[in-house]
Amino acid sequence: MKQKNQFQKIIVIITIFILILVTGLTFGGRENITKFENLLGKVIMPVQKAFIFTSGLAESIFDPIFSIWENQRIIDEVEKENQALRKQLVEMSLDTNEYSELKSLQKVFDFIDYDFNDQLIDAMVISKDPGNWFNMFGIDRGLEDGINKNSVVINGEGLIGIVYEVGDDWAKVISIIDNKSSIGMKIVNPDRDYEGIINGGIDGDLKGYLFDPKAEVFVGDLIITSGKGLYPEGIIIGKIKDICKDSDKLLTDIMVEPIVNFKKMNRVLVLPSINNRKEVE
Amino acid sequence: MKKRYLLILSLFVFLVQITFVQQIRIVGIVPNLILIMIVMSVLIFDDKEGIYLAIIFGLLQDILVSKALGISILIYLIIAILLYSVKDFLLNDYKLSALLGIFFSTIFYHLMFNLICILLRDTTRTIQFIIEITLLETIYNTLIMFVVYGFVFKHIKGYEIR
Repeated sequence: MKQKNQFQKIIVIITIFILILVTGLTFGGRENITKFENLLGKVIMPVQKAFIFTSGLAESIFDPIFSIWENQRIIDEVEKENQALRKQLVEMSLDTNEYSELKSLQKVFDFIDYDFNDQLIDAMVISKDPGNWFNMFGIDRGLEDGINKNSVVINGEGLIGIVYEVGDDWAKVISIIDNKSSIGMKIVNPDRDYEGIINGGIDGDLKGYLFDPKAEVFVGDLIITSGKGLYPEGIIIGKIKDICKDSDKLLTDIMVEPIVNFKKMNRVLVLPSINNRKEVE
Repeated sequence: MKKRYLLILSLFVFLVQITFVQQIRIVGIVPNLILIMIVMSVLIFDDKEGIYLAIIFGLLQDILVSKALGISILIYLIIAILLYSVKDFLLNDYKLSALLGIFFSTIFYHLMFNLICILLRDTTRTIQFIIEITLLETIYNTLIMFVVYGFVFKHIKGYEIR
């Protein structure tokens, strides 16, 4: 009996050790998942779809109830933003650089180059991370649809993240706030053409810096992708939430609040990874 | 029969957790029905059902929606093993045992999770943020356990909880 207990303890310790090892090795996403994982995803996907459809119906019932306070806060913010935008509109109409500003706005509203629009793949969100830490989710498209690891994922609001791991007809997506990899970004303003780098930071925000130490940026400035790295140019990332100018540093640190509500996503668009994208002329 | 019923119910709960529950976040936080199921299984069943559930749930979670393979299995498995090791000191027909079980399991889950994230140099989270999320989820999980444990216990054991 004592020997059996001893044996069980050894088994448990070995199992825990193996799990720690596997966790460390698979953290960061893999280029290819195993056949078993692929098959499991394939089998469960139709059931997930049925569940997500039902939960969509439930959302339409519960959401207005749980979002009363949140909606009021959003309405107040939108009203303030609306006032600021009206003022900005008047100023813009008087601006001599009207054309270049409109070009910049065009980029913001269109998000990405027209050539990329033809390559976008529509996907349905079929599962979400059950916990409260990661903002990872599953989609119903995979390798067979032209999606690869590192394919860029967006929605109508802006940049969501990249494909983390991919099966034949399903994939896991990691949000930009969970990902430590850097995103090349720039400020949306033709007069203040500052570029920098941001990455998944602290407590659901993005943290980064501008290359120009004398950059004139303000809280509320819109940030878009600069086109350097994995992400194509012109996708909205978020708004500057905080600026930290340290005289000892040669860079301007910024905190960015993502524009996308990661908790409320039902459909997304996927852009093939940089290696599989058609060249933009 | 009860084991098969438990397995089907568990798969249903898992799917509900990754789909339906996500749509009804309160203050941005969701309860962890998977953890509740594991704690209940450990307390109610006499065999190692809780450990099997921890492995099944952990594997499904890791494959379908997790950042690393093994992270969820590891945490759920340790929780199930720890609960089994203290099970003899807990009276499973007392509701308080179940409430204490889920309360400490939730806190342990978040401590373990954040410790692994620190070791793997994952994105940083402030202590305040960790406490906020842990506290809210612990409250949700304990409340759900308070409501469902008595019902499930009676259904499986056939007599009322104390």
